[in-house]
Amino acid sequence: MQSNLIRRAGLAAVSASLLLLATAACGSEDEPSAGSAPAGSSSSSAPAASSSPSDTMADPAMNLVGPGCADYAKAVPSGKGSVEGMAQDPVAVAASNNPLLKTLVAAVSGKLNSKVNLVDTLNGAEFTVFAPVDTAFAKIPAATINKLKTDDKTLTSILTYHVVPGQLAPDAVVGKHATVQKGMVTVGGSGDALTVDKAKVICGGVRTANATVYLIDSVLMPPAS
Amino acid sequence: MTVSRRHRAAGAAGALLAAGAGLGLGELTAALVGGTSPVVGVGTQLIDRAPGPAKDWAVKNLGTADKPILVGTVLAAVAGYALITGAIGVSRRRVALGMTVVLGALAIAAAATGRSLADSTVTRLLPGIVTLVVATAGVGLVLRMLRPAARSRGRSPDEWSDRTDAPAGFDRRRFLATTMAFGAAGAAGLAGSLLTGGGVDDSARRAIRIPRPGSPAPALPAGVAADVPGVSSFVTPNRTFYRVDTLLTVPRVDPRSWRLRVHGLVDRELNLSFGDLLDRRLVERDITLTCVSNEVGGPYVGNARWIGVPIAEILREAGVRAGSDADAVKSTSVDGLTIGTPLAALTDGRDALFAVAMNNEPLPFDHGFPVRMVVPGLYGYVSATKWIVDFEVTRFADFTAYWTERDWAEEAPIKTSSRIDVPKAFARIKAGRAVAAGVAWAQHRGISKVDVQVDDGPWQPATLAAEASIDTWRQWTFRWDATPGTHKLTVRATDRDGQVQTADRARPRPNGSSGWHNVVVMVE
Repeated sequence: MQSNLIRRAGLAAVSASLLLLATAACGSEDEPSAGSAPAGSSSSSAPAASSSPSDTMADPAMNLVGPGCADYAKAVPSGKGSVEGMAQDPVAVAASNNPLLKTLVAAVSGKLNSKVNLVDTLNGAEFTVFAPVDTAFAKIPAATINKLKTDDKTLTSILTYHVVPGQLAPDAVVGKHATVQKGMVTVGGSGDALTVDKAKVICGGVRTANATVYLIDSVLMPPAS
Repeated sequence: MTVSRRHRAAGAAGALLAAGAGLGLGELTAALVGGTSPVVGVGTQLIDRAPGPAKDWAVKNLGTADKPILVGTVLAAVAGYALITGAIGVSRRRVALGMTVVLGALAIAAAATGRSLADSTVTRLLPGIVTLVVATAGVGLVLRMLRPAARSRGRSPDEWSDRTDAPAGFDRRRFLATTMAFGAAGAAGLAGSLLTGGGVDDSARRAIRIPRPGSPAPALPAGVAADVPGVSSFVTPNRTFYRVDTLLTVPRVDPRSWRLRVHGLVDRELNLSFGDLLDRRLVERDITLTCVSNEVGGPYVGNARWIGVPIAEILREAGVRAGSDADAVKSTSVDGLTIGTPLAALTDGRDALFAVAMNNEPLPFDHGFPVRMVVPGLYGYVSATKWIVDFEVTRFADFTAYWTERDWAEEAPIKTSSRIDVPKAFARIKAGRAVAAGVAWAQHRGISKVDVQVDDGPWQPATLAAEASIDTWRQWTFRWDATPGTHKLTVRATDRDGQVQTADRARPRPNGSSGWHNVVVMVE
């Protein structure tokens, strides 16, 4: 009887506090339509990134998947390259602050091949980006990399095969997806053991202002069309 | 399940409700006397004191949709803290009381050091004091009631299983009634604060009749909008107009009690009511605003039709003191945020306004109701004070403003910029005759030319839409022969001073982003 009462009191306390949270959290939004979205999120407007859904903004470190997340958080605990730091910038800017993505950033920003600069475009809509880390690029023969310095078609094709339109959170990423390059990429596995084609996800679900990023351990190659 | 765990749960729940009562009554006090709300006060301090990236994140995101998140985070943290306090307090009452006092002291400290325009220190701190007293007394009471129960902790489980009634001295009904009373007090306080502290409601705002402007906006010329699906609408609806500010809760200032104080290096100090402003000559103008934190290609630019009183006329009434070297105005919003604007930009003949209406309705609360500043040609953070209550003629040398204290430039004219709206990033388009379109802006200088480059080809002139005024953005279209493959379109604008938009890439800090916007598309 007594435990019942106390339990009931506890339950009442929890529901009262939930009520308190709910009302207070909505208190500043009595007019939900006003000012809640930047111009970019309306289809008739700017091509720029809309702000990310607010429920995921609370803690960018939540919902991360992959065996390398803890190591990354330890290696880059704060600053613009950290998981929290990346959440505030559009994806190309965020990637440039990530110490594991130097080669990829060079490749998308015209530094590998001056004819291939995808920075504004990557920042300009919502995407899911499979981002090979530097050690992934290191697995590619130097001759191949050298060829990409002048072959902008192949480089663009490879890079855009790593980009899927729309943001896919870890709970929605498994499956086949049409990439910007057009080829289909396959995400398999589950939990902390995801694969993208033959690559393994090191840490995925990393939020940026306009895109969700999955760090992967190998460079993907688009299927011959 | 052991007894001690059950009693810890009861202590945690009781402390949570006691803290809730303290916060609720604190919020009510804030609403009634106009002091700093404990929750909002702490949250605002978090924003103001946040270091580098967190700050940038807050500025970028909190202005749009995520302020409730910060309030929710503060509340969740308090709730967690209260639960722990209660659980500890069952066995260590003094520690728990100390923890509660610390919590209240935090709210008071936030109010004491935060931005506020409350009349006196007492009103400013009172809500935090109420929170501290109520929460501490409440937690004390809860723990006192649980005390005998906690003391029985030493008994063996067997002993307990034999007993069906409560430990001596513990009155469960009283405990339940007391904690429920705390819950009710918290909820009532919060409800009361929402009812009384919200200022005016939206129907009151909409009911305000803005007089017909003596100087209406010139009719928009035909063809002011590019006729291409997907391009920004020439007038940005209030609903989608960008919002970037530092506030957790949007002020709902009552226009009946609103006053604008015009003072500083002036001959006559003015104290204007909302009615005083509406009685003056109103002008209506189309003006495009831009936020300094807009990235190249970003969304923080919007165009609206404003009605307001020319700031130059108010300055003439007040009279800038001769020989005073005044070169700036420091304006302050109702929450204490300060903005510094060059005096010259307010007196050189441009349509700098104390705006009262936006797109044919009184200013939305989010956009500064009842009165905000709008100055063509300057980024918002140095000119567009929302919820303005104080306007001081001064010298740049004599003050620092909120943003300049955070490493943003003191003066910031809007940079000549352009953006591709169509096609979208990585769009797939059909080979053949294709169209690109977008906007360009160089407020108060005007756009004279927009060029587009396909891949590394020559710059080709885009077709400009009609110009509404030099203070608005200008739309453009560009037709090109798209050949199969991947192509990059790049845009650049030229303003009426002949300045070509710079190719140099710059991030927003300290005085606005720069560089040519481009978009890569796939033609098939």
